[in-house]
Amino acid sequence: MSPVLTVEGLAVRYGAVEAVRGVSFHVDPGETVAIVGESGSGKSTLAHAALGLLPAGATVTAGRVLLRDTDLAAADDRELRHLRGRTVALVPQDPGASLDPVMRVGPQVAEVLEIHGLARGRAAALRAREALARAGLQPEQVADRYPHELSGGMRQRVLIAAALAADPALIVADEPTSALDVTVQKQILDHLTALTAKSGTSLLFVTHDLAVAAERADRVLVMRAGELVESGHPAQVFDAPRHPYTRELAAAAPGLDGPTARAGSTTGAPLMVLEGIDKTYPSRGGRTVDRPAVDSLDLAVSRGRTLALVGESGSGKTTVGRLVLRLLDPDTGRILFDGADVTSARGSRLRALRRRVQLVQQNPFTALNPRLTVEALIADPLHAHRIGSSADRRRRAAELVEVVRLPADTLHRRAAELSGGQRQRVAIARAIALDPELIVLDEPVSALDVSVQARILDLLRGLQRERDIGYLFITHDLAVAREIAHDVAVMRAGRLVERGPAATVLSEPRDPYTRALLDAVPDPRRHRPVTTPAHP
Amino acid sequence: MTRYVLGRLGQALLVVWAAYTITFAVLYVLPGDPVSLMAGTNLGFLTTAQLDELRHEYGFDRPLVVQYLIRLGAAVVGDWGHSIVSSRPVVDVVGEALVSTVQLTAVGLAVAIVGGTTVALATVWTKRRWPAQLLALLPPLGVAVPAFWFGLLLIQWFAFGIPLFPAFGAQGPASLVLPAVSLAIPTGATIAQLLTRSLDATLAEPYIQTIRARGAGTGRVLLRHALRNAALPTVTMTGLIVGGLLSGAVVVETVFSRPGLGRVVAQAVEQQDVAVVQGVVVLASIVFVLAGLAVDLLYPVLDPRIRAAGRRPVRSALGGAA
Repeated sequence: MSPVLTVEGLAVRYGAVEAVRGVSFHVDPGETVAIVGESGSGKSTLAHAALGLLPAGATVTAGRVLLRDTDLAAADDRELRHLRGRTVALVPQDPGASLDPVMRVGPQVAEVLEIHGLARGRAAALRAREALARAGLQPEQVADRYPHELSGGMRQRVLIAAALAADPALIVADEPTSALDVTVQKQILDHLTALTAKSGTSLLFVTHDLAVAAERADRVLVMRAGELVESGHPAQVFDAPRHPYTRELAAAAPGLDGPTARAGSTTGAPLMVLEGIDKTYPSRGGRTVDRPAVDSLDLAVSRGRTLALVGESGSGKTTVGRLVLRLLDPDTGRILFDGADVTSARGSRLRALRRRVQLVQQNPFTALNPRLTVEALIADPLHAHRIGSSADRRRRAAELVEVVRLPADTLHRRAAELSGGQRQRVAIARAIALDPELIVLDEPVSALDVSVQARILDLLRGLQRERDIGYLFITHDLAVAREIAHDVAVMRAGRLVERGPAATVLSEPRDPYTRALLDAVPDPRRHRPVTTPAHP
Repeated sequence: MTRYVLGRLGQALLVVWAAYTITFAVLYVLPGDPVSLMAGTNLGFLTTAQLDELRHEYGFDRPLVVQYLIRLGAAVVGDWGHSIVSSRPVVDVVGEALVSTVQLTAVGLAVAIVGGTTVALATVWTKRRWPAQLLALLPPLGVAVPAFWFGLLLIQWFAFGIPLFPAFGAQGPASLVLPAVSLAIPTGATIAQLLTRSLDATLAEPYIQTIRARGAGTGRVLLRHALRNAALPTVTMTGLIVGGLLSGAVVVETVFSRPGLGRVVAQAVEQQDVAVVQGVVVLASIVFVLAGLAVDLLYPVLDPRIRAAGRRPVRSALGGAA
């Protein structure tokens, strides 16, 4: 059978930047091909080229993209519109932003049928409901809802339903689960691969996660800086990588094998203690009684040690972080810091506490004021607490830039000019500027590429050793928790379900929920049975 | 939903009350009561005793708080006092003028919305072609040039040049065309500017990409998806503009010699007829508040995220089918 998608010597430019250089590959009918790469590798450009949807500034400078027999680079708008949705469909990256917020989801699924004249009105609505059911949703409950009324996983299922509704030959899935929880990610990927296998649809799967790719794909392509550096069967690519970059990527990917990075212990003086904390957010309208965000929680973080607080979205872990920072007040319970009750500290006492407890946020792209220089950003907390003269503060900022291993010339650059990893280093430098005793790290590496992730975790471990800082490390990723935590606490629906040394919790989980979380972590050595013959 | 409406209504009443109180303070509390002001002008022939009698008649000799409460109480039941110049009830004076002005403002607003939306859509539609650059010039031009000058141009072209519409007066719908258009131009240009920018931002949203990946053409993307999402900030702006339209109408009425609030205000200010001035100011505040209320009530219709504040999110709609 001839391939569904053939890419031959493709080169794409954005102005002066070559995003893709001389890339060739193909996707056979029914085959799942994964493109793996980090941000800026050109993997998303490839995905968009396969849809004939390259952004405005992009030009194809060489090569062809054949969808069956049509060259997408040469096709006009009419031909492309005819192919999109019907022959090739997209499952986009961010389910939260990929549905029209003011339109019910049923009509959004039906729209693809109407565009291509496959069904109209009632018939289209009926087929949309069937598609929603195939995607694992209850159409009678979901079809008349607006996107904001559905969870992230449900929205992604709606998008999968819309992509599959017109029976396309190829589905391009661009990081389809990177915005979702691990357990949801597993369900969605299982479902997507099962559906495409059943209907014989080919799947071009773009991901930054080598483990996810290796677990699901018939063939893995590794992209780096616009070039295809390696391709082959997942077992070969992961276990015996030929290219040094693939080896680096495989090594950096946090997994669940081997001993935990750090020995757990419950000794050491507790620095921050939460006792019997309850917190319920008042619901709008006041008609429904909401379940508490945090429910009789006891937690302790020790000096110089890391407690990983693990859970999925909505589990209440971020609320705990905010309670610890005293950005929120608990309804009941006590918060002790260094032996003193700070539950209702106000004014100067609260300011003193703020100096000793700092925060690093999840998204380095929004956590830093893009207009300020790195020097001003790092000196800001010193300024806020009126520490030193402005010359002292500049000197301190220069020291801290060195501590977080950024080049000295970053001091006078603006946050907007830095990469994600560099920005997160700036955020860490800002957090340690006041020599805090405790840092709340709210998903500090989830927005970063794996190789960057590994380097940031390494930096955090080093700082903790040198400065004896306690970390409350909030994460949804058990593999990351393994890399950094001495102790692990697992949260679900506002309650702690399991707590203990990292080694124990992550290798002999007692609670079924912890086990489910562990099972959902992608394991590159658990290749799915190959349904189509693999290509050499 | 009822709570939402009642809450907004309460705020609206509060704003009108505040407007009434502030105008009262400005017009009555400041030194020099209306009668003394008039004494310097057309009542100059009256004796002090006669003036005192007048003051007594209008209640200006009572304590301010009492004056305020009496007038407020009367205003609530629709008695806004009498014109000091013509002795006619303020409600009648303002009401007569209002009909003509409301006609002008409503038609002007409709022309502004339709025209502004059309220009915005056309600009976005023709992106990257030369007409787009031409279209993109229109809104700044419309905002920058004053309405009265457009009014004069329109009279020159379409009343004297090609005699299509009457230049002056208020006889029949044809006389409404030129004033409404000149009133609509600055407002329509503002709407066009805002909506174009909002459409550009909306078209960069991921869901537009997803819709295009389903094979949708530009027309469907713009009309079925982008326009409604992009309209939200524009609707807020339009609510604020309506108040501006009212003051624009005053100028346009003068240019086209139309009867209306414009003429009434001009006269009242000239003759220091405080009761009428206060009536117009309170009326303007009512218009502002009603426009804001209309926007607040329109918002949940356009945006389900506001409408559904009380609705529970779906938690367990995952089916078993695979």
